[in-house]
Amino acid sequence: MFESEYAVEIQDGPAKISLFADKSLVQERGDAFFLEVYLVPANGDANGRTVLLPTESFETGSRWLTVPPATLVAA
Amino acid sequence: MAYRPPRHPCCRVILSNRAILAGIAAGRFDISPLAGRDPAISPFNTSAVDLRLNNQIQVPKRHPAAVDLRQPGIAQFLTKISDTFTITDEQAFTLTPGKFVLAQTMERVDFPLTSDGPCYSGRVEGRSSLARCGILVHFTAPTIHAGYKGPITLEIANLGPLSFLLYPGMFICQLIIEEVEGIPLDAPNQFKGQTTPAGLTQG
Repeated sequence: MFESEYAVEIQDGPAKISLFADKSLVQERGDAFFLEVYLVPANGDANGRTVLLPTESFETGSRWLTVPPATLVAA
Repeated sequence: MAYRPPRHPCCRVILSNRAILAGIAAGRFDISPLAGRDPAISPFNTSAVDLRLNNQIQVPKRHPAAVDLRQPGIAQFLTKISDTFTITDEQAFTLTPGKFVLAQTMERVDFPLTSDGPCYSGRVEGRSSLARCGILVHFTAPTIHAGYKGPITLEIANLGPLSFLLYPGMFICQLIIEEVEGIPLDAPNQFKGQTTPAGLTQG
């Protein structure tokens, strides 16, 4: 891992996915960490919203992820 | 007036040196810090810009286990099995024949997603001078997708018979920038998604 990045682990339903993200994309707020993502406006509902991760995760090979809306805050 | 044939809707557009600088100036995308801003000299080629090697070399170590990429924790595992070396002008990294390392570019790129104009993506290519020496700087993932922000990670391997020294600041790859046809996301906005509280690790 380079000094410029973090190894990030994200809960994806019952599973966890991981990726390397540039530190500029990660914010620490209190005891929570937030990763900067793009929200896909047209996708999702009250149960889950589609976001675009900075890079693909190792476990899924995809940048797309569905997350609970409550975990999202505006950048 | 010079003849310009009509552009087919499916044509990919590769940006010229001047168009790269114009795109940066217009805020469509960013590459910084550039090694220079004169399109007629280095780091520019006619339709690409050369990028430099940053000062960290990551060397994966051998491990007896076969990795199942479907299992969680891959990023953390790869972190644990790699050694990181800092290179300086006085202390290079020797890339011996058959060696594979990871490195990053000094330049950080930013290809933002937007719905009010064209988006851009990049493609990393090697440099012919290094290629002739047997040095690869990427394997199978040259694309820097629209929406990416950060330095570019390079997979460097020496397939030749000679050892080469890697110094920080040396021109290591070239970046070709392409215009993306269509809008990847309608009305994209950046949000922050929460990671698992115990999941963030720092090297």
